[in-house]
Amino acid sequence: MPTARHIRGLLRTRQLSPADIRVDGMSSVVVVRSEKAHARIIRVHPPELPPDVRLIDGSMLPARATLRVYGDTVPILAKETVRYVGEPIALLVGPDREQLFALRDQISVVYEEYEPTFSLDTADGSAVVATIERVSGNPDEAFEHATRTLERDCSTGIQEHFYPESHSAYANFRRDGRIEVTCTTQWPYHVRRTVAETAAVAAARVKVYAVEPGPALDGKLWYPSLVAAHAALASRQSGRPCLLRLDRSEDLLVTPKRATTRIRQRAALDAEGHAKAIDIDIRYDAGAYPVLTDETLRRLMIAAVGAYRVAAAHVRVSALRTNTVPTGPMTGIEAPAWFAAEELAAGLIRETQSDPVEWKRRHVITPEASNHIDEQLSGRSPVLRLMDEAAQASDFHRKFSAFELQRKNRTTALGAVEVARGVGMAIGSQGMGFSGRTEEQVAGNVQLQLDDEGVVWLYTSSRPASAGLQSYWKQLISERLGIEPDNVRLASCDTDTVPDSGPTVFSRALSVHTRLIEQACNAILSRRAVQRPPITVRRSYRRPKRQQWDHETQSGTPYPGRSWAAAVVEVEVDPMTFEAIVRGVWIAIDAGRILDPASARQTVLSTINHALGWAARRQVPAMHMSRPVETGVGFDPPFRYEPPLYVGFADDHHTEKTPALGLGELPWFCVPAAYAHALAQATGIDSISLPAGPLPVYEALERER
Amino acid sequence: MRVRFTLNGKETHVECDPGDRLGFVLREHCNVRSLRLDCAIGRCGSCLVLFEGLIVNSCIVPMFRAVGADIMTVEGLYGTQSLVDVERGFERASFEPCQYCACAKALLTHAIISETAEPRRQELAVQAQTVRCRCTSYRQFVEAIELAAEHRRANDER
Amino acid sequence: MTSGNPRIYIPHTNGELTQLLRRHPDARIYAGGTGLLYPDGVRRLTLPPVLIALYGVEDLRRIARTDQHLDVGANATIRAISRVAHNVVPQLLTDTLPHIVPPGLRNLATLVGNVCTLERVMTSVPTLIALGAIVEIRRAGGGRWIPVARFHGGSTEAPLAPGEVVTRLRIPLDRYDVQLFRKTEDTRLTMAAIASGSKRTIENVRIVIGSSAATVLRNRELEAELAGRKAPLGRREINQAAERMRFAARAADPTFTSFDLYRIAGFVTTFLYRVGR
Repeated sequence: MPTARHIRGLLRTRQLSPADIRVDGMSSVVVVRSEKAHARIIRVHPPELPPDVRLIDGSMLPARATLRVYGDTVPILAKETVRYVGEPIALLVGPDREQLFALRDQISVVYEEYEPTFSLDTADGSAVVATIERVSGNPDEAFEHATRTLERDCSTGIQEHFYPESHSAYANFRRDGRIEVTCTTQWPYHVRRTVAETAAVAAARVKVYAVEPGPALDGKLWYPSLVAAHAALASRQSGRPCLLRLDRSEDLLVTPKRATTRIRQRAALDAEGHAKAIDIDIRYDAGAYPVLTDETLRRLMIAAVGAYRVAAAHVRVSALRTNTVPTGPMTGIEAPAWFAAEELAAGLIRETQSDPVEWKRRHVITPEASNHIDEQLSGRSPVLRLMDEAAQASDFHRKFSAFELQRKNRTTALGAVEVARGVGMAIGSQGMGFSGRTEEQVAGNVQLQLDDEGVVWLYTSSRPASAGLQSYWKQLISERLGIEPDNVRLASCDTDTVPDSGPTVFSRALSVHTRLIEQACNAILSRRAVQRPPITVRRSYRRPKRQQWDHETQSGTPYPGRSWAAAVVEVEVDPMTFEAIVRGVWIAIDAGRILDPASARQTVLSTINHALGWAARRQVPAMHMSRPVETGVGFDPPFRYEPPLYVGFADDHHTEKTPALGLGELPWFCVPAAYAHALAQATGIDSISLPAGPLPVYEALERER
Repeated sequence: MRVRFTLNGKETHVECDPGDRLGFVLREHCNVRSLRLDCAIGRCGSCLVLFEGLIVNSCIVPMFRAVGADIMTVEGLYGTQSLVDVERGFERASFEPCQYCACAKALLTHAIISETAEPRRQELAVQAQTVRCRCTSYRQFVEAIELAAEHRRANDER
Repeated sequence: MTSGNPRIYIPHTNGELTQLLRRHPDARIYAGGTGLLYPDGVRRLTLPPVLIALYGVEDLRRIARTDQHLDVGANATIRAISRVAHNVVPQLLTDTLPHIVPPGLRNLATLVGNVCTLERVMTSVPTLIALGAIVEIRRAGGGRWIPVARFHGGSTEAPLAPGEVVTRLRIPLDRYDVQLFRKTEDTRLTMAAIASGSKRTIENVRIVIGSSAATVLRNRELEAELAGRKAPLGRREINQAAERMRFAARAADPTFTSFDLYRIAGFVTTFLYRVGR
C-alpha cells in the first residue's frame, strides 16, 4: 500500500526519458520506412544530402546483424525485401530533426511490388511458419462414433498496447569502442545483445541503462531493442551520440500489436449432447516477422481447452506470417484461447441445456481428472470455490434466471425499445513464467549484497510494472534480514551493474524473481553468521522438481505455478445503438498469498479495463495504417460510467509459506469470455467473436434472423 | 516571438514561434519535467497544466495564446497544503499511479477539488478520463479524488 | 495550411472584432482552437495565415440566462456551460455536453465552435437544432440571427458571408416531456429528439439525425403528422414512423449503411415509445 511519503516521492521524482537526453554534438535519427506492404526494393533515391547528414542503409550492417528473440529473427534494416508498411529501410542521421523529416519526404524508393496478405482469411498454407500439435486420448475414434458434431468458429481482434511513452533510444559509440545506450525496456540484456550484434562489438562493451517502462503491457519487450539498434548503428556510422525518438503517430503505425486469431472448433457429441472429443484449430496472425513464436504457440495450445477436462482432444496452433506489422506478444497472450474455450463450453452447455455453473462445476479440471496435457494440479483446485464466490458476490444465479426469462419472453426483436440484459461467468488461469522448459533457458538471476555499512543492495534487471512489487521486495528484504527499510536499495538498472534477470514478462518479477530474492535473503542470513560483510549472493532460477514437462509430447506441468480466477460480467445492451454497457464485473481470485492487497486490487482493476477494451471495442486496423490513427481508439473500456467492480482474493487458506503468484494477466483469461457470455444471453446470439461491438452484434442478429 | 507569461508564480519569458505548443515550450525551454508530450492531439492527458486556473492539455495550446497567461504545473504546488490534500487522498485510496502519469493525475485532482468541494461521482467518472494511462483504473482514480476532496474539506473546516 | 509568419489579431471588443473582419474577411476565427489547429510534429501547431482570436473579448465569454433562454457567447467553453447547465437547460443538452469533446479539451473547446465546424456534423448540432437554437451573426455595421439548422441544412449557400462572425448562441429553455440523445460509439451518428404535449396529445415533435458525412436529417412531414396524435402511440404507428425515417435517411444520404439505418429506426422507435408513457 503506498504511503503519503511514497506518493510525495512519486510526484517529485523525475523519471528520465531517453527522449530528454541532450548532449553537445548530438545527432537525431529519423527512420526511412517502407511504403509498401510486400515488395522488393530496387533502388533508393535520396535527395542531395547536406554534408552533416548521412543516410545509412542495410548494406552498412554487419553481415549477421539481426534481432533475435529465441529463434525468431527480425531484420534491423530491410536489405532487399520489405514485408510491411513502415518496415525500416534506412536511417537519416543529422543535427536537425526537422530537416531530417523534410529530407525523408524527398527520398524516393523504387519497388517491385508483390501481393500482400493482410488477413488470416486470405493467407494460404504457405503462410504457416510454425505449428504445435497435441493429441490426447483418441479423438479420431470419438469423431467416428459421434452421434453428431458441434462446430464453432470464432475470432479475436487486434489491439494497440498504448504504453505511456512512445519508443525512443539514445546511443553513444565512444572513442574507446564502448557503446552506451539508454532506452525504456522490459528486457535490458536483449537490448545489449542486439546492439552488440548491430555495432559488431562484444556484448560486454555495451552498457544499457534501462528506464522503467511503467505499464508497458509487453509493448516494450523486444521492440526497444530494434530502436536501440538503430540509434547505435547511427552513432557508430556518424561518430556522434544519437537520439532516435518515435512520435506517437509513428509509434502507432509501426510498433507491434496484439495478434488477431481465428479459432475453429469441433466437438464429437453423444446422443445426450456430451462432448466425447474436441478438435481445436487456432491460427494467429504473427505479422511480417513472428516473434516469440514457440512460447506463444505453446501457451495458446495449453489454454485451448480452458479449465475443462475432456476425454480426447486434438489441438493445433499455427503462427501465420502476413504483411501486417509484427504483432506479438502482448500481455495476456493466450487470452484468445481462453476466450474460445469458454465459447466452446457455452456451445456445449446449450447442447445439453444445462445450467452454465452446474456444467462448469462438473467439467472443470481437478487434481484427479486432468486436462489435455496431463497437467498435475498440486493440492485442491480452487476453481469451485472461486465460482461460488463470484456467483454469490454478483447474485449470478438470480440474475441469470431473470435474464433468461426476459430473453425468452421478449416480444419484440432486439433493437426495438427494450433494454436487454445478460450475465456471464467464465474461469481462467495464469501460468507463471515461461512455459515448459523455456524458463530454464531464460536467464533468471538476481543478486543481493550486504555491504560493510549495513546497506543491502538488490541487483536485478527486472523492472515490474507494478510499483507495489518493488516496494514489497524492499519490505521483504528488510524483514528477512532485520534491516531498516531505508537501508534496502535497488541498484541502478544498467547492464554493467545488475545481472541478467531475463525479460520482465509473464509475471516473472513476482513468481521467479521474488522467490530468488527470498532464497538470496536466506543465503545471506546463513552466511552472515560466519562471514563479515560485504557478502554477495547470486541466485539463479532452477525448475522445481514437481514441474515435469515433456517437450516431445507437449505434456506435463507447464508452469511452476498457476493462479486462478472466476469472473462474472453483467451487460445491458442499448436497444437503439446495440452498444453494450457493462453494469458490473465481479472477479474472485486465488493467486496464492497476496503480498499487498491494495496493489493487487489496483493491478486487477486496471487489467479488467484493458481486457474489456479488447473484448468490446473496435481496434486499430493495423494493415491499413498508412495514416496516423487517432490515439486512444480501442483504449477506453465500454463503460458509460464505472460499473460496480468487485475483486475478492481467496487467500485465507494460505499460509506465510504459500508462494505469491502473479495476477496481472489473470483478468485477460476470464473477463472477455464472461463479457461474451453476458452479451450472448442479452442478445440471443449463439456465437460471439471479439471485439463484440455494436456492428458485430447487429450482423450476427441479421445472420441469425 | 517573445512570449511573457507567469509560470508557477514566476514571471517567465521565452523566444518561440507563435504556433509552438505550450507543452513543448514548457518542457524544452522552461525545464518543466512534470509534463510530457505524448499523443500531441489532446487525448492522453500527459501534458496537463493549469492554464488561467483551468485544466487544459498544453499540447494544443499555441504559444501566442499563452501571452500574459498564468500557468501552473505540479512544481508550483510543491510545499503547499493543496498538494498534501492530494497526496493524502491518493494514500487513503491506496492509489498509486505510475511515474509517467502521477503528476498529471495529481494536478487534475487538485484542479477538481479546488473547484468543487463535493464533486459528483458521475461528473468525476467523466473527468477522470482526462488522463488516459493504463496503470490504474478510472474507478480507483475517482475514489482517490473523492478522498482528496474529503481531506480538503476537513482542512477547510479546521 | 502552412504559415510562414501568421498574423494574429486579438480584439478586445465586438466592435474591434467586426472591424478586423472587415479588413481581413478571410481570417480564421480562433475560439477554443481545438478544431482549427493542425499538428505539425510534436513541436508546433500549424496556424492559418491570418487569425483573429476571440479570447480578448470579455463579452464573448459570457453565459447569460433569462426565463426563456440561455445565451452562450462564442468563446464560452463546454466546461463553463456544463457548470451552469445542470438543472437549468433541457436535459437533452445536459446529456449531450459530455460527448462533445474528450474531457481534457472541455476547458478549451467552445459550443459555438462546435456549431461553426462545417466539415462534419459535430456532436452538439442535432441537439441544438432539436432545441430550436439560434445564433447571432455580426458584421461591421450590423447583425442578424439565424437558426443553427441553417449551418447544416444542406443548403449550398455558406451560412456566413465574408466578414461575418458568430458571436452568440441562444438556446430556448422550453420544457419537454420526452428528450432523447444518442451518439453512437463509432461516431457515425448523433441523434437528438424532443417531444411535448398536453392532455395526452402530442403537440410538438422534433427528431434530428446527424451523420459524420455532414448530413443533417429531419423529416418535417413526419413531425407534422405526429403532432396532434394521441399519446401513447400504438406499436403500428411507431413502426411506421420508424420506417419512414429510415426511408428518408436512405434517400437523403447514400453513405448510410444498413446498420446506420437500423440504428436510426431503433432510435425513433425507442423515442416514440417513450412519448406518453
